[in-house]
Amino acid sequence: MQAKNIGKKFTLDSQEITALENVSFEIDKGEFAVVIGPSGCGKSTLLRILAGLESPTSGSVIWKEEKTIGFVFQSFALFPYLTVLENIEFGLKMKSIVKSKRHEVAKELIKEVGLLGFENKHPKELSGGMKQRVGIARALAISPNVLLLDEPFSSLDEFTAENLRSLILSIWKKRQITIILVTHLVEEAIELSDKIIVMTSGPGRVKSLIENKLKRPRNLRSKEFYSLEDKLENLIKTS
Amino acid sequence: MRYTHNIKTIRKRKHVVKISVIFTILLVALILILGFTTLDAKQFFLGFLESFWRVIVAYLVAISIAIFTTIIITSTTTLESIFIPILDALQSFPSFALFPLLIVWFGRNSIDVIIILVLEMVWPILFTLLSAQKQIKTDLMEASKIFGAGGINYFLYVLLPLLFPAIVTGSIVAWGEAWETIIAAEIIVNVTGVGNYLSTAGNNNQTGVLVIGILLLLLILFIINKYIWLSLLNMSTKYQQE
Repeated sequence: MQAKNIGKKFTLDSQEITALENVSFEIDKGEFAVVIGPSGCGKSTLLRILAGLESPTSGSVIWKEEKTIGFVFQSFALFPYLTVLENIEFGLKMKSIVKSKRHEVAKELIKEVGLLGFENKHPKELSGGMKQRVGIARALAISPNVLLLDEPFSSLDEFTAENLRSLILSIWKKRQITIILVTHLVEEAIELSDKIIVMTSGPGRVKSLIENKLKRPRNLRSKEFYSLEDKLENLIKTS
Repeated sequence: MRYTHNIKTIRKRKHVVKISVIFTILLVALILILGFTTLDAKQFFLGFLESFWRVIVAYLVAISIAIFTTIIITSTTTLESIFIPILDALQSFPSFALFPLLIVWFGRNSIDVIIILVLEMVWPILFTLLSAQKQIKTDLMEASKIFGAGGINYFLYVLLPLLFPAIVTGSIVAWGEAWETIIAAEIIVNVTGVGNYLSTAGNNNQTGVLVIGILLLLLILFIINKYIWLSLLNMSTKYQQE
């Protein structure tokens, strides 16, 4: 996947704001990319442009292969009137996949993301962590080859977030899909990524691209981890 | 607001039971005192049914118009900024002023009453829907786009369920206004119906029939509210966004 000179402007109260300017990078197939930056750097807007939810004012996104995009939201964005099972099946239902097939896929995912016994609950009855498991399963149900995650663990407590990070890693390993995750947490970026896209704000630009070569599974307390963390933190601070 | 207060109170089951009991006791007492014979039950219920189907027809028309208008208007912000002020102005139009015109056009029949009912019912539903549509969260719209709910699928599986709570609350208000309106409308147009039945009783000085008739009407409407609207209202909490 290639992003070429992406720019995004919008007007707020008749003032023109440049959210993104000349954003370019490449992400390889099967790569785990993390976009990191301070709030207001346009990283969520960038992800929405990649997802096709918004169109860039300039530049373009080029996908080298046929893509199916799954999206996981910071706010979960589950349909309140559907059960866990129905939420997961939503994308398949929209594709007019028959009920028995939908059930089969959803049941399998329910097992994989750890929602057994919650099939018929409504989102309201679930904890934040459980809701995001539904969000992840719903995104996986349409068999995406690209999974986009917008600060997926930001509204969760650290313990739950850690569990979900391992879940995402295991999903990535098992399916070998391309993942692009947006976060503002340095540690999360280093733990997960192959490639880190560091962004600065006002207007949002790519400050640097870092290849993260740390061996997996990663030891969050190793010297290499800490030194990369320092490097990243300095980059973001001076932006 | 008067309406929100009403909705909150009818939610309470205790309240429902209490009112039902009071109504029943009152009715029984009145029937015993005045004698049921003064009220022609068959004629009363036939009148009621006639009014009832007018309200139903008008309700179905009003809700269709309201949903359709909401979808069209909210499809672009330009349409919204043009139409909201226009609708706001139209809303204050006194619909009863149309009666002479309607009678000239259609003669004295049900169509006049139904048109007036539609004009009364469409506003509360439409404005509740418009404000509910505004409150649909962007992330839910994005999710429906990502997961392929476009066109009719978006309408059926996203928009309609998300608007469902507003449809119910808007309908409850509209339904209440419709029964206020129909009694007067039937008397003005002079068509048969429960309004006319009561009016005739009044003209003949049959106070007993009037009192029992009004109480019976209240009781029937109360039961409909309890068993249809109240349960829909309870059901709609499931559809509410967090």
